[in-house]
Amino acid sequence: MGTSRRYLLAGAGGALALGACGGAERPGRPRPGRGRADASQLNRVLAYENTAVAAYELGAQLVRARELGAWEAIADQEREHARRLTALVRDLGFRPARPRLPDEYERSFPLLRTPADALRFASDLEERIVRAYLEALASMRDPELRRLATAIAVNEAEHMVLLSELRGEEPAPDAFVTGTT
Amino acid sequence: VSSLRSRRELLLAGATLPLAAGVGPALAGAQRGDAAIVTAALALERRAAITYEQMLAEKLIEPGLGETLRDHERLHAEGLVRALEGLGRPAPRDPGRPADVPGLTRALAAGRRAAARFALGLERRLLVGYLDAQRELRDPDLLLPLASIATSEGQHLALLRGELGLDPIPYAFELGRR
Repeated sequence: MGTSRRYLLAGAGGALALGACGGAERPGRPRPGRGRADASQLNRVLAYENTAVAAYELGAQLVRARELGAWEAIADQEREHARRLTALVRDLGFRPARPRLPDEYERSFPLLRTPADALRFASDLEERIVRAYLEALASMRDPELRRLATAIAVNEAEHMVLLSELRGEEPAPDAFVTGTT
Repeated sequence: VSSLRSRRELLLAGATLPLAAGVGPALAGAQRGDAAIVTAALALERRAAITYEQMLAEKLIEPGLGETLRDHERLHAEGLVRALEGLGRPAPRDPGRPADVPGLTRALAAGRRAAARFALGLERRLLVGYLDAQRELRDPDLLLPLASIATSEGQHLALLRGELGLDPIPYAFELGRR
């Protein structure tokens, strides 16, 4: 396989940098102050979700048949997160971070050749997404958004369990699940 | 489970807990509210730790899983005790006995599945509490540490659902629903 964890994370970072470029204020519907801060945080995690959707779509061609059910279930939930966050940013009067083209994501990802590559990349992404949600909490002004963001972070932590089990690793090694930066 | 590991994990979770000394009246009021939230979570964490301990003792859960879940709940409780201390509040006495956990004795007597379902219910209640805390906490330094416990409880939910043969991830938005 040959792809190191650091390389995988570097690839994810490139994809996230691409994804985070969207999210400007939508002309004619500005919501200054409180809404702007929340929209900015939502767009940040939306960029991660868009990246995850692309990663799971790409990885679906690699994982084994016995892994595909869990893989697709996780992918569906990432799509749900992205849809919800997109709607929330729009409701605040801002332009949601848009997903890039699949080719753009693929170029920014590490080389994924085997089921193990796909599973490891997905695990690393989930950890980064959990961290992104947790870091966003302190900057979110709307308490209901903090609650929703935590509910999504919890779901991402659940994904980490499934992916660890598929990888034959300890599914819940930490009592405090903070993700990684 | 070493308290050293617990301290390290809480630090990793980003806990920078406030000191009670020298705070103004408004902050002191906020701390009272935050302390009530943390105290309620602590009581439930202790119940969960006792539950897993009893499930292990009565061989109603696979040992590796039961020990992981019990140890996690103990670490959460230790972290919450320190959070309370940081808020200038003493931690309530550890209940320490299965009789202090309403419904536990009956669930254990009903067997392995009933015990797992009971634990699942406790985990859901814990999660709901931590989610509500994100809405109610006044001290921003408590948000990340408590959220990092919520994510752990989510992992427990997935594991317990798996044990029960249920879909481990039924909800994209994990709100502690049945």
